[in-house]
Amino acid sequence: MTETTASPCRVCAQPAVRQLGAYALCQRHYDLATRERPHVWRAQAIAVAILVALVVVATVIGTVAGRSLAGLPLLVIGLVIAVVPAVVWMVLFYREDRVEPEPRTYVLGVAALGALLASGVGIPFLNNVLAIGSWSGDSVIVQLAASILGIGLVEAALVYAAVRVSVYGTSEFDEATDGVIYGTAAGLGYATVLNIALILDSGGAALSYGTISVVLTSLILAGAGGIVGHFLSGQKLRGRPVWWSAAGVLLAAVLLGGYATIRSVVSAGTASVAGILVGPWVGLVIAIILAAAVYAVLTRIVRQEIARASTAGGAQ
Amino acid sequence: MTAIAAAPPTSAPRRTEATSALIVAALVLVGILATLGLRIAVTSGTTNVTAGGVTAAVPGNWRLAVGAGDVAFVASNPNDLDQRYLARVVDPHGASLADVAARESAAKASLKAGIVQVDTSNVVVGGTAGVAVSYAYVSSSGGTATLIKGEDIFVPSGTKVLDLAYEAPADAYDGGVDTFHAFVGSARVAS
Repeated sequence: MTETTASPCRVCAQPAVRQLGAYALCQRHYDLATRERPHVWRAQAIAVAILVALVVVATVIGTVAGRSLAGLPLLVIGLVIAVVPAVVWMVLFYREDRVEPEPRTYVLGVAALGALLASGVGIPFLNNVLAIGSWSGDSVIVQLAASILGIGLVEAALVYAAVRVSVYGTSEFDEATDGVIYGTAAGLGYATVLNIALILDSGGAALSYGTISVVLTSLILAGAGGIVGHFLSGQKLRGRPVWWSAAGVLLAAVLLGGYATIRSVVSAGTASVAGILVGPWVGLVIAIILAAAVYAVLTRIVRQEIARASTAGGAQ
Repeated sequence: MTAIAAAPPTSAPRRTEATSALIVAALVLVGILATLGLRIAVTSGTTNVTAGGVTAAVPGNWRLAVGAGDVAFVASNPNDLDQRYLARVVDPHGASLADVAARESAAKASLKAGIVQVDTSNVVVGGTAGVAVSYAYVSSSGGTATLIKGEDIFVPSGTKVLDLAYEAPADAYDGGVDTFHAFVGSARVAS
């Protein structure tokens, strides 16, 4: 069934026995590249559920505590909440991925690199050079174009860079779902820095709205990171065309920019129910739907790719 | 867990990887340039408005509100409502431009607590001689204290005097001065 090809394995340089797209792979890396880890998707779903629960709990606490929760205690709680999404995802991922986990140092390293690129490049560049918020005005079309071309592309490209310059070149990046895992880690690293900046800039945002904002940012950047990572997997393991990674960055930019615009429009509303602004909650629902849709689509695509590869491999 | 080892790809994939990364870099560069181009297009564009007896060109993306009392209109940056222009028509009652500027500045100071007049100078804006009075105050709108810098430029227009004011948070003030001077140069009492 298998045949030895002239090329070495794309991942480990051992003699290749399989062909996947344009790439030659050894049997081990062929099996890994066509293996799905369903627990990865389960971990993402549970993480979303926990984050929604976090918003509800924070809203209840904020409502009960009222104005008595302010100053340093509010700031400390805000900072804790800012890092919760990344911690929740990391813990869940390792609980679910015990059989053959990605090296913890690699996942943490990619998340840290995403955070570093956010604080050193992304946030200063977007705030001080592009400064889109200071000139985009009320036009939704201008906001959408600027959000996709500016915010979206820069953030997606930095998530891409965090994965591309680190784990992508190692033999550890060898499975169909690895891109999604590392891309999500980079996105969450980026989101954590944005969340901490939000809490510090506001001196401890109001608990419920601050928590909603933290969760929104985390969900969308994690989803965008998943997209970028999936396309990187295709680039490395499936021999996709040279523009494939750029297509992933562009798609993630559309998600990030499109969502930023929707959130801006929705949040601008002043409608409220029982004294609670409706806009942030609508924004949260949209973010959950978008993040769920991203991971549902990625799950389906990865499964289809694995099925096609298995069929093609069986036919060899 | 797979063993971590350097993966020496063959030369063809290495070229593919490099080309792929270059395409991503080019895409981001195009996006950034397009955003900067969009910024120039949005911020350099102006809209001619006539309100409260004053005609002027205001930044195209700013919000216009017809003023109350003797204020003809207020134009605000929708992204930073503390950054705004105010236009008023003042009857000089035969006084000189400098006297009008002094009188109106004193009146503003009496109406707005905490305002500090910083400087008065003669200026030429858009070929027209005028008097500029700069000032500052602390705004506490929105629950946070913000230092607002401002400037009134008084210019003659027909038999009237236009009082055109620019206010902005201190950190954004300097970046908007040239645009404000273009606004002053375009302002006329509507016929």
